Amino acid sequence: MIMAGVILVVSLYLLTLFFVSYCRLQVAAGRRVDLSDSAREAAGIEGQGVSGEEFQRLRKLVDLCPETNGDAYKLGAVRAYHAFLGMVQMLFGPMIPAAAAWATNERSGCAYYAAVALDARIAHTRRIYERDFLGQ
Amino acid sequence: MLGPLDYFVWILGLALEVFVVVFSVTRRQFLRYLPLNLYMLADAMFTVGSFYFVMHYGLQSLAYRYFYYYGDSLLTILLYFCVLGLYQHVFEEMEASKYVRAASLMLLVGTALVSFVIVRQSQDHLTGRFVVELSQNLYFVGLVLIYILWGAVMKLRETRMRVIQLVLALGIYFSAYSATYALRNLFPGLVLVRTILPPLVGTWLPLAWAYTLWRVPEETRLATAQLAASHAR
Repeated sequence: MIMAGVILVVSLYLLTLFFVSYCRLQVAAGRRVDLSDSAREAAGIEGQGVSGEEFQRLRKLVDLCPETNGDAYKLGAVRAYHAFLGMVQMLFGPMIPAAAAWATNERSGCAYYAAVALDARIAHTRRIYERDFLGQ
Repeated sequence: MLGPLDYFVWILGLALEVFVVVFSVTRRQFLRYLPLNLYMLADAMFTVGSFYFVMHYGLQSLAYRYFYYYGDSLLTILLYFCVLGLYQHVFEEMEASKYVRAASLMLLVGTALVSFVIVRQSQDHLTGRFVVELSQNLYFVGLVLIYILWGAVMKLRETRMRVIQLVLALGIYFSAYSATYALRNLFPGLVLVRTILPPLVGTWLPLAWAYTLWRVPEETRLATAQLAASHAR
Protein backbone atom coordinates (compact mmCIF):
# COMPACT_ATOMS: atom_id res chain seq x y z
CA MET A 1 0.00 0.00 0.00
CA ILE A 2 2.81 2.42 0.94
CA MET A 3 4.66 1.48 -2.24
CA ALA A 4 1.54 2.14 -4.35
CA GLY A 5 1.06 5.50 -2.59
CA VAL A 6 4.66 6.54 -3.29
CA ILE A 7 4.37 5.43 -6.93
CA LEU A 8 1.11 7.39 -7.28
CA VAL A 9 2.60 10.62 -5.91
CA VAL A 10 5.79 10.35 -8.03
CA SER A 11 3.80 9.42 -11.16
CA LEU A 12 1.40 12.34 -10.76
CA TYR A 13 4.31 14.73 -10.24
CA LEU A 14 6.10 13.45 -13.35
CA LEU A 15 2.85 13.40 -15.34
CA THR A 16 2.46 17.11 -14.59
CA LEU A 17 6.12 17.74 -15.51
CA PHE A 18 5.88 15.91 -18.85
CA PHE A 19 2.49 17.41 -19.68
CA VAL A 20 3.70 20.97 -19.00
CA SER A 21 6.90 20.37 -21.01
CA TYR A 22 4.95 18.86 -23.92
CA CYS A 23 2.55 21.81 -24.07
CA ARG A 24 5.34 24.37 -23.62
CA LEU A 25 7.04 22.79 -26.60
CA GLN A 26 3.99 23.57 -28.74
CA VAL A 27 3.69 27.09 -27.31
CA ALA A 28 7.44 27.75 -27.77
CA ALA A 29 7.19 26.69 -31.43
CA GLY A 30 4.30 29.19 -31.86
CA ARG A 31 6.30 31.99 -30.24
CA ARG A 32 8.89 31.80 -33.01
CA VAL A 33 6.29 32.87 -35.57
CA ASP A 34 5.55 36.56 -36.17
CA LEU A 35 1.91 37.56 -36.53
CA SER A 36 0.91 39.18 -39.80
CA ASP A 37 -0.72 42.61 -39.79
CA SER A 38 -3.91 41.22 -41.35
CA ALA A 39 -4.24 38.67 -38.53
CA ARG A 40 -3.71 41.41 -35.93
CA GLU A 41 -6.36 43.48 -37.56
CA ALA A 42 -8.83 40.57 -37.92
CA ALA A 43 -8.35 39.48 -34.31
CA GLY A 44 -8.23 43.00 -32.92
CA ILE A 45 -4.76 42.56 -31.39
CA GLU A 46 -2.82 45.68 -30.54
CA GLY A 47 0.84 45.79 -29.54
CA GLN A 48 3.35 42.90 -29.43
CA GLY A 49 1.90 40.65 -26.76
CA VAL A 50 -1.47 38.92 -26.45
CA SER A 51 -3.21 38.69 -23.10
CA GLY A 52 -4.02 35.23 -21.74
CA GLU A 53 -7.62 36.34 -21.31
CA GLU A 54 -7.89 36.63 -25.09
CA PHE A 55 -7.42 32.89 -25.54
CA GLN A 56 -11.10 31.86 -25.52
CA ARG A 57 -12.08 34.61 -27.96
CA LEU A 58 -9.22 33.75 -30.32
CA ARG A 59 -10.04 30.04 -30.12
CA LYS A 60 -13.63 30.75 -31.15
CA LEU A 61 -12.31 32.72 -34.13
CA VAL A 62 -9.96 29.82 -34.98
CA ASP A 63 -12.93 27.43 -34.94
CA LEU A 64 -14.65 29.54 -37.60
CA CYS A 65 -11.89 28.79 -40.13
CA PRO A 66 -11.20 25.41 -41.77
CA GLU A 67 -8.45 23.27 -40.21
CA THR A 68 -4.93 23.80 -41.56
CA ASN A 69 -2.19 21.13 -41.65
CA GLY A 70 -3.78 19.08 -38.86
CA ASP A 71 -3.36 21.90 -36.32
CA ALA A 72 -6.41 20.76 -34.31
CA TYR A 73 -4.22 18.31 -32.37
CA LYS A 74 -1.79 21.03 -31.25
CA LEU A 75 -4.63 23.43 -30.49
CA GLY A 76 -6.23 20.72 -28.33
CA ALA A 77 -2.98 20.35 -26.36
CA VAL A 78 -2.64 24.13 -25.92
CA ARG A 79 -6.29 24.38 -24.88
CA ALA A 80 -5.76 21.71 -22.20
CA TYR A 81 -2.61 23.55 -21.07
CA HIS A 82 -4.50 26.86 -20.87
CA ALA A 83 -7.18 25.23 -18.71
CA PHE A 84 -4.48 23.66 -16.51
CA LEU A 85 -2.81 27.06 -16.06
CA GLY A 86 -6.15 28.58 -15.12
CA MET A 87 -6.44 25.97 -12.40
CA VAL A 88 -2.89 26.69 -11.18
CA GLN A 89 -3.69 30.40 -11.07
CA MET A 90 -6.89 29.79 -9.13
CA LEU A 91 -5.44 27.27 -6.63
CA PHE A 92 -1.97 28.69 -6.00
CA GLY A 93 -2.30 32.31 -7.12
CA PRO A 94 -3.48 33.73 -3.77
CA MET A 95 -0.74 31.89 -1.82
CA ILE A 96 2.22 31.90 -4.25
CA PRO A 97 2.44 35.11 -6.33
CA ALA A 98 5.35 33.68 -8.39
CA ALA A 99 3.14 30.79 -9.53
CA ALA A 100 0.42 33.23 -10.55
CA ALA A 101 2.93 35.34 -12.51
CA TRP A 102 4.29 32.24 -14.25
CA ALA A 103 0.77 31.05 -15.14
CA THR A 104 -0.14 34.52 -16.49
CA ASN A 105 2.96 34.53 -18.70
CA GLU A 106 2.25 31.01 -19.96
CA ARG A 107 -1.42 31.80 -20.63
CA SER A 108 -0.26 34.75 -22.70
CA GLY A 109 1.90 32.29 -24.70
CA CYS A 110 -1.19 30.09 -25.24
CA ALA A 111 -3.16 33.09 -26.52
CA TYR A 112 -0.29 34.01 -28.83
CA TYR A 113 -0.28 30.44 -30.13
CA ALA A 114 -4.03 30.69 -30.84
CA ALA A 115 -3.40 33.96 -32.71
CA VAL A 116 -0.68 32.27 -34.80
CA ALA A 117 -3.07 29.40 -35.57
CA LEU A 118 -5.73 31.93 -36.56
CA ASP A 119 -3.21 33.66 -38.82
CA ALA A 120 -2.35 30.37 -40.54
CA ARG A 121 -6.02 29.46 -40.96
CA ILE A 122 -6.92 32.87 -42.40
CA ALA A 123 -4.06 32.55 -44.92
CA HIS A 124 -5.19 29.00 -45.79
CA THR A 125 -8.82 30.10 -46.24
CA ARG A 126 -7.68 32.98 -48.44
CA ARG A 127 -5.70 30.57 -50.63
CA ILE A 128 -8.76 28.30 -50.97
CA TYR A 129 -10.94 31.30 -51.86
CA GLU A 130 -8.46 32.54 -54.47
CA ARG A 131 -8.04 29.08 -55.98
CA ASP A 132 -11.68 27.94 -56.01
CA PHE A 133 -13.63 31.17 -56.44
CA LEU A 134 -11.32 33.55 -58.22
CA GLY A 135 -9.64 30.81 -60.29
CA GLN A 136 -6.11 32.12 -59.64
CA MET B 1 -20.50 -4.73 -21.49
CA LEU B 2 -18.75 -2.51 -24.03
CA GLY B 3 -20.49 0.62 -25.33
CA PRO B 4 -20.09 2.48 -28.65
CA LEU B 5 -17.48 4.80 -27.10
CA ASP B 6 -15.34 1.81 -26.05
CA TYR B 7 -15.44 0.42 -29.58
CA PHE B 8 -14.64 3.85 -31.00
CA VAL B 9 -11.56 4.26 -28.76
CA TRP B 10 -10.51 0.70 -29.61
CA ILE B 11 -10.79 1.21 -33.39
CA LEU B 12 -9.15 4.65 -33.19
CA GLY B 13 -6.18 3.19 -31.31
CA LEU B 14 -5.80 0.37 -33.83
CA ALA B 15 -6.08 2.75 -36.80
CA LEU B 16 -3.40 5.05 -35.33
CA GLU B 17 -1.04 2.14 -34.63
CA VAL B 18 -1.40 0.86 -38.19
CA PHE B 19 -0.97 4.43 -39.47
CA VAL B 20 2.37 4.86 -37.64
CA VAL B 21 3.75 1.64 -39.15
CA VAL B 22 2.44 2.26 -42.70
CA PHE B 23 3.61 5.88 -42.62
CA SER B 24 7.10 4.85 -41.48
CA VAL B 25 7.34 2.18 -44.18
CA THR B 26 6.20 4.54 -46.96
CA ARG B 27 8.58 7.31 -45.80
CA ARG B 28 11.47 4.80 -45.45
CA GLN B 29 11.72 5.52 -41.71
CA PHE B 30 10.82 2.06 -40.49
CA LEU B 31 14.39 1.10 -39.63
CA ARG B 32 15.30 4.53 -38.24
CA TYR B 33 12.54 4.14 -35.64
CA LEU B 34 12.62 0.33 -35.50
CA PRO B 35 11.73 -0.29 -31.80
CA LEU B 36 8.93 2.28 -32.01
CA ASN B 37 7.47 0.65 -35.13
CA LEU B 38 7.82 -2.86 -33.72
CA TYR B 39 6.00 -1.72 -30.59
CA MET B 40 3.17 -0.20 -32.65
CA LEU B 41 2.91 -3.42 -34.67
CA ALA B 42 2.81 -5.53 -31.50
CA ASP B 43 0.27 -3.17 -29.94
CA ALA B 44 -1.96 -3.44 -33.03
CA MET B 45 -1.77 -7.25 -32.80
CA PHE B 46 -2.55 -7.04 -29.10
CA THR B 47 -5.60 -4.85 -29.83
CA VAL B 48 -6.88 -7.37 -32.39
CA GLY B 49 -6.19 -10.23 -29.94
CA SER B 50 -8.05 -8.40 -27.15
CA PHE B 51 -11.02 -7.93 -29.47
CA TYR B 52 -10.98 -11.65 -30.30
CA PHE B 53 -10.90 -12.63 -26.60
CA VAL B 54 -13.73 -10.24 -25.71
CA MET B 55 -15.88 -11.53 -28.57
CA HIS B 56 -15.26 -15.21 -27.81
CA TYR B 57 -14.91 -15.32 -24.03
CA GLY B 58 -16.43 -12.05 -22.80
CA LEU B 59 -15.01 -8.97 -21.07
CA GLN B 60 -15.29 -10.49 -17.58
CA SER B 61 -13.76 -13.86 -18.53
CA LEU B 62 -10.59 -15.12 -16.90
CA ALA B 63 -9.12 -15.89 -20.34
CA TYR B 64 -9.45 -12.24 -21.42
CA ARG B 65 -8.03 -10.95 -18.14
CA TYR B 66 -4.97 -13.19 -18.40
CA PHE B 67 -4.48 -12.24 -22.04
CA TYR B 68 -4.86 -8.55 -21.24
CA TYR B 69 -2.56 -8.27 -18.21
CA TYR B 70 0.23 -10.58 -19.38
CA GLY B 71 0.07 -9.17 -22.92
CA ASP B 72 0.25 -5.68 -21.42
CA SER B 73 3.28 -6.64 -19.32
CA LEU B 74 5.08 -7.98 -22.42
CA LEU B 75 4.20 -4.80 -24.33
CA THR B 76 5.63 -2.71 -21.50
CA ILE B 77 8.91 -4.61 -21.73
CA LEU B 78 8.85 -4.01 -25.50
CA LEU B 79 8.30 -0.34 -24.73
CA TYR B 80 11.58 -0.35 -22.77
CA PHE B 81 13.28 -0.99 -26.08
CA CYS B 82 11.55 2.09 -27.49
CA VAL B 83 13.02 4.06 -24.59
CA LEU B 84 16.45 2.60 -25.33
CA GLY B 85 15.97 3.38 -29.02
CA LEU B 86 15.31 6.99 -28.04
CA TYR B 87 18.42 6.92 -25.82
CA GLN B 88 20.34 5.92 -28.93
CA HIS B 89 18.85 8.84 -30.88
CA VAL B 90 19.78 11.29 -28.12
CA PHE B 91 23.31 9.92 -27.70
CA GLU B 92 24.02 9.19 -31.37
CA GLU B 93 26.20 12.26 -31.85
CA MET B 94 28.32 11.23 -28.87
CA GLU B 95 28.90 7.82 -30.51
CA ALA B 96 27.81 6.11 -27.33
CA SER B 97 25.67 3.46 -29.04
CA LYS B 98 27.81 0.56 -27.76
CA TYR B 99 27.19 1.68 -24.16
CA VAL B 100 23.46 2.03 -24.86
CA ARG B 101 23.44 -1.47 -26.38
CA ALA B 102 25.24 -2.88 -23.32
CA ALA B 103 22.81 -1.09 -21.00
CA SER B 104 19.83 -2.44 -22.97
CA LEU B 105 21.18 -5.99 -22.72
CA MET B 106 21.65 -5.54 -18.97
CA LEU B 107 18.15 -4.13 -18.63
CA LEU B 108 16.65 -7.02 -20.56
CA VAL B 109 18.47 -9.63 -18.48
CA GLY B 110 17.65 -7.75 -15.27
CA THR B 111 13.94 -7.42 -16.11
CA ALA B 112 13.74 -11.10 -17.11
CA LEU B 113 15.45 -12.17 -13.87
CA VAL B 114 13.31 -9.98 -11.61
CA SER B 115 10.11 -11.05 -13.42
CA PHE B 116 11.15 -14.68 -13.12
CA VAL B 117 11.81 -14.35 -9.39
CA ILE B 118 8.52 -12.50 -8.80
CA VAL B 119 6.47 -15.03 -10.79
CA ARG B 120 8.24 -17.96 -9.12
CA GLN B 121 7.60 -16.57 -5.63
CA SER B 122 3.98 -15.78 -6.47
CA GLN B 123 3.05 -18.83 -8.56
CA ASP B 124 0.67 -20.05 -5.85
CA HIS B 125 -1.31 -16.83 -6.01
CA LEU B 126 -1.12 -15.46 -9.58
CA THR B 127 -4.17 -13.34 -8.92
CA GLY B 128 -5.57 -10.19 -10.51
CA ARG B 129 -3.99 -8.17 -7.73
CA PHE B 130 -0.59 -9.65 -8.52
CA VAL B 131 -0.77 -8.70 -12.20
CA VAL B 132 -1.93 -5.18 -11.35
CA GLU B 133 1.06 -4.83 -9.02
CA LEU B 134 3.44 -6.24 -11.65
CA SER B 135 2.12 -3.81 -14.30
CA GLN B 136 2.36 -0.91 -11.85
CA ASN B 137 6.02 -1.76 -11.16
CA LEU B 138 6.89 -2.28 -14.83
CA TYR B 139 5.37 1.07 -15.80
CA PHE B 140 7.14 2.76 -12.92
CA VAL B 141 10.53 1.38 -14.05
CA GLY B 142 9.73 2.69 -17.55
CA LEU B 143 8.86 6.06 -16.04
CA VAL B 144 12.20 6.22 -14.21
CA LEU B 145 14.03 5.35 -17.46
CA ILE B 146 12.21 8.03 -19.44
CA TYR B 147 12.78 10.61 -16.69
CA ILE B 148 16.53 9.94 -16.86
CA LEU B 149 16.32 10.28 -20.65
CA TRP B 150 14.46 13.59 -20.29
CA GLY B 151 17.24 14.78 -17.98
CA ALA B 152 19.78 13.85 -20.68
CA VAL B 153 17.73 15.69 -23.33
CA MET B 154 17.80 18.86 -21.24
CA LYS B 155 21.45 18.48 -20.22
CA LEU B 156 22.69 17.79 -23.75
CA ARG B 157 20.46 20.60 -25.09
CA GLU B 158 18.84 18.35 -27.65
CA THR B 159 17.27 20.47 -30.38
CA ARG B 160 15.50 17.93 -32.60
CA MET B 161 11.83 18.70 -32.12
CA ARG B 162 10.78 15.23 -33.27
CA VAL B 163 12.95 13.40 -30.74
CA ILE B 164 11.88 15.76 -27.92
CA GLN B 165 8.22 15.23 -28.76
CA LEU B 166 8.58 11.43 -28.94
CA VAL B 167 10.30 11.41 -25.53
CA LEU B 168 7.72 13.66 -23.88
CA ALA B 169 4.78 11.69 -25.32
CA LEU B 170 6.29 8.51 -23.90
CA GLY B 171 6.84 10.26 -20.56
CA ILE B 172 3.17 11.25 -20.38
CA TYR B 173 2.16 7.70 -21.31
CA PHE B 174 4.35 5.99 -18.70
CA SER B 175 3.42 8.40 -15.92
CA ALA B 176 -0.32 8.23 -16.68
CA TYR B 177 -0.32 4.44 -16.76
CA SER B 178 1.86 4.18 -13.67
CA ALA B 179 -0.53 6.50 -11.78
CA THR B 180 -3.57 4.57 -13.07
CA TYR B 181 -2.19 1.23 -11.87
CA ALA B 182 -1.15 2.71 -8.52
CA LEU B 183 -4.69 4.12 -8.07
CA ARG B 184 -6.08 0.72 -9.01
CA ASN B 185 -3.90 -0.90 -6.40
CA LEU B 186 -5.04 1.57 -3.75
CA PHE B 187 -8.73 1.66 -4.74
CA PRO B 188 -9.61 -1.61 -6.50
CA GLY B 189 -13.31 -0.72 -6.78
CA LEU B 190 -12.83 2.64 -8.54
CA VAL B 191 -14.63 2.46 -11.92
CA LEU B 192 -12.64 5.37 -13.40
CA VAL B 193 -9.30 3.55 -13.16
CA ARG B 194 -10.71 0.15 -14.15
CA THR B 195 -12.63 0.93 -17.32
CA ILE B 196 -12.38 4.60 -18.35
CA LEU B 197 -8.76 5.69 -17.98
CA PRO B 198 -6.82 2.69 -19.42
CA PRO B 199 -8.23 2.84 -22.98
CA LEU B 200 -7.89 6.65 -23.07
CA VAL B 201 -4.28 6.55 -21.89
CA GLY B 202 -3.64 3.66 -24.30
CA THR B 203 -4.81 5.79 -27.24
CA TRP B 204 -2.57 8.69 -26.27
CA LEU B 205 0.74 7.12 -27.34
CA PRO B 206 -0.25 6.10 -30.91
CA LEU B 207 -2.01 9.46 -31.32
CA ALA B 208 0.99 11.52 -30.17
CA TRP B 209 3.52 9.44 -32.11
CA ALA B 210 1.36 9.42 -35.26
CA TYR B 211 1.09 13.21 -35.09
CA THR B 212 4.82 13.65 -34.44
CA LEU B 213 5.93 11.44 -37.32
CA TRP B 214 3.32 12.90 -39.66
CA ARG B 215 3.58 16.60 -38.86
CA VAL B 216 7.00 17.23 -37.32
CA PRO B 217 9.74 17.04 -39.98
CA GLU B 218 13.02 15.36 -39.02
CA GLU B 219 14.97 18.60 -39.56
CA THR B 220 12.82 20.85 -37.29
CA ARG B 221 14.91 22.28 -34.47
CA LEU B 222 13.94 23.98 -31.23
CA ALA B 223 16.23 25.02 -28.40
CA THR B 224 15.41 23.13 -25.20
CA ALA B 225 16.31 26.31 -23.32
CA GLN B 226 12.96 27.64 -24.52
CA LEU B 227 11.29 24.89 -22.51
CA ALA B 228 13.25 25.67 -19.39
CA ALA B 229 12.47 29.38 -19.41
CA SER B 230 10.30 30.77 -22.15
CA HIS B 231 10.17 34.52 -22.58
CA ALA B 232 7.05 36.63 -22.66
CA ARG B 233 5.91 37.90 -26.02
